[in-house]
Amino acid sequence: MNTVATPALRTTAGAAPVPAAPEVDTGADVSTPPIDSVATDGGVPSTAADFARASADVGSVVNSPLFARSAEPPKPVDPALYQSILDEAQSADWRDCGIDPKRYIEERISTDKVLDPLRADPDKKIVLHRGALKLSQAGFVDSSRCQPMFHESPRDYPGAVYWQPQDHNFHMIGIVGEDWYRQTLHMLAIEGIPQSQILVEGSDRIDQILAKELGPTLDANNFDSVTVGTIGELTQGLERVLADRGRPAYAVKVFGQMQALLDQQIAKAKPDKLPRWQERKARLDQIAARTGDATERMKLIQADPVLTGPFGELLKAYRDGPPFNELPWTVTNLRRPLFSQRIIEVEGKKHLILHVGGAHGDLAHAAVEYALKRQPSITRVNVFGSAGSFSNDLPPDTVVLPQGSVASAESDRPPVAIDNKAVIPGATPTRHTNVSTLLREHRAGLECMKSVAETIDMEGYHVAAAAAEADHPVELRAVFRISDVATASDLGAHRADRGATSDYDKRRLVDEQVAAMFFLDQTGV
Amino acid sequence: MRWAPLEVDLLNGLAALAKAPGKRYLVSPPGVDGRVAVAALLATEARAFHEIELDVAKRHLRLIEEQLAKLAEDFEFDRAGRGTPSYLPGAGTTIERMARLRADVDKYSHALIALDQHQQDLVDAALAVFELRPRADLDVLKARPDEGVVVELCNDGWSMAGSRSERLRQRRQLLGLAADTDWSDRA
Repeated sequence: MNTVATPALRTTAGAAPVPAAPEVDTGADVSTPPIDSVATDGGVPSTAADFARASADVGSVVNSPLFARSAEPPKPVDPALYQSILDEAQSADWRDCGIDPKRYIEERISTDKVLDPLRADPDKKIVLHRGALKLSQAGFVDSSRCQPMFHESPRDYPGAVYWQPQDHNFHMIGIVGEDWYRQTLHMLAIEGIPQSQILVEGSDRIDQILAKELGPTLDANNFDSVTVGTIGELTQGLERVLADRGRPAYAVKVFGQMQALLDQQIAKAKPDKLPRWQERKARLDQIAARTGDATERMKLIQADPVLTGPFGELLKAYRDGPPFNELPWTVTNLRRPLFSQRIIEVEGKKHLILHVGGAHGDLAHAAVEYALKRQPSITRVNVFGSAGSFSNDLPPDTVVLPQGSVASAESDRPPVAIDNKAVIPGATPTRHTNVSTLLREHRAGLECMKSVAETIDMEGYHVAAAAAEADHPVELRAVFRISDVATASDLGAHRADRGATSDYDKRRLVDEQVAAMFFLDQTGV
Repeated sequence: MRWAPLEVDLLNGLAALAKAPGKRYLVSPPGVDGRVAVAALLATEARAFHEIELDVAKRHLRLIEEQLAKLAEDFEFDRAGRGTPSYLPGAGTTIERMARLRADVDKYSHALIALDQHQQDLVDAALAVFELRPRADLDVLKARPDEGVVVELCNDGWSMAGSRSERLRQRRQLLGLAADTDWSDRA
């Protein structure tokens, strides 16, 4: 584990700067170099001739001008960076930790198709194409001849490996951003792949990707807030809150439908059945006269066996609540290769939700920073996701609110002071930290992280940093739900009964509370 | 005296009306004479009602599951890679509805088991507090000024429809489902 350095402090609006924490010696002697020195600069061909040459070299047929292929051949992986990761991997002790590194890697990179062949033949190499989301965007690759070698169902990992027969090398695409890149290097290091077999091609090009994927959204909408989080959970939570709010009005509507149904039946009833319908109408009128509260009316109807028969379906409709298309909101989905977006308009305000998955936290920084720069009227930034804890006292499903500052286990990421404005009843305030990959959560790493924090995640730090770096005051609301205990194998990420430990009702309630706070400015739901 | 015409779910209706204050009378439908015949009608109707409700709940559940499968756009992963479907809007209320339908399936299944095991007792309990009167007395009883209830059993509700497919057709119409929804009797 490297040192947790604490250079300059960044603060979110209203947060007092936190004093620098003492540097923690984690026992390793090689520090991870700063991000800037890690990134390779593949260069984007600037002229049509460059582009044609780069494409011709690899027999390309399709190339987007945005993702013009690199003209520079792959370079060896940064030796200092990879050596530090190798050292960490070789000394890591995983006993009693929440993560099983072998299993973690097996779930993301195919052992049979990729790792074993690499180990068996030192002449084979794996080329990491940084910034290539598609094979056709990777430099020096003939996409028409490559054979897929990627995992059939990788867990939250975008890296896809192809075998190119011409150069007898593996080529990996999809690992945009620093965190995914570092995670990939950690996986290769743990699997014992030497530095000589790893090449890096291209650069991140995140700014270009953001301009293409997020720029048009920001140009076309004025947002009140930007949220990084799980799109599905937040949307469902808000949907339920709105449905609950709309229930009294829906009761009035259903009661009107009942009256209309009886009028209709009376109008067309045969003489022998007419008295029955008239009796029902009389009963309904009596209920209407007895109370003006539509919800109470529904209870009275439910208790009357003469009415429950004909109104069975309407009573079930009332029980189900207002249907989705009658809720007072609009939802727009924008599927994009890297930053899937959802725009929610409710109560006259628009909110942008960005889906940024687990192990690519630094992309959250880039996206939020881009949004805040491009649209300074955004004054609220939210983050809602899952986190790990360092204590059995913070078991799965616990809701935590980072307080004070957010640290990082990465030496090039200074702590960020925060003034977390999130309010969730019963939530636990915690000291929070960041890591680029779970593969740093071995015993030494955890000891280091436990000294500065109680909870950990990947994107929270980056969202807080982007908010702190904004040119205008930005309110931060950060909420996390514990998914695993990093320091306990029985409550960890690879525990056998993960599903059984989850409290469905509590999870649902938290989704609603968070959505109401983020999008309706309502706390204590 | 209060008139309570019952068409559907007769047994439960009687159980609810058994608590009504005052005298309680029961008038059987045309062609159903005597306590034994009324008991048989109640038992048959209760079974038909619960069977068709169970069937409808199961079919409805299946429709919603298909709907929900279409709503899942991707997977969302937690910190450690546990995936849950990332649902599109509409899924929140749909999932709630599905949970209620599952509860319905349980409820009707248990009711059918109870009917199998305690049919006679249930019918006897429902009839115990009612005085059975001939159909010809209905108008007289309805016109009486004293407190009480006169229950008229009707055997033309949707749960009395001749065949299962006819009952399903009626229920499908009540639910407002499209005519081409596959609610045939095959399932």
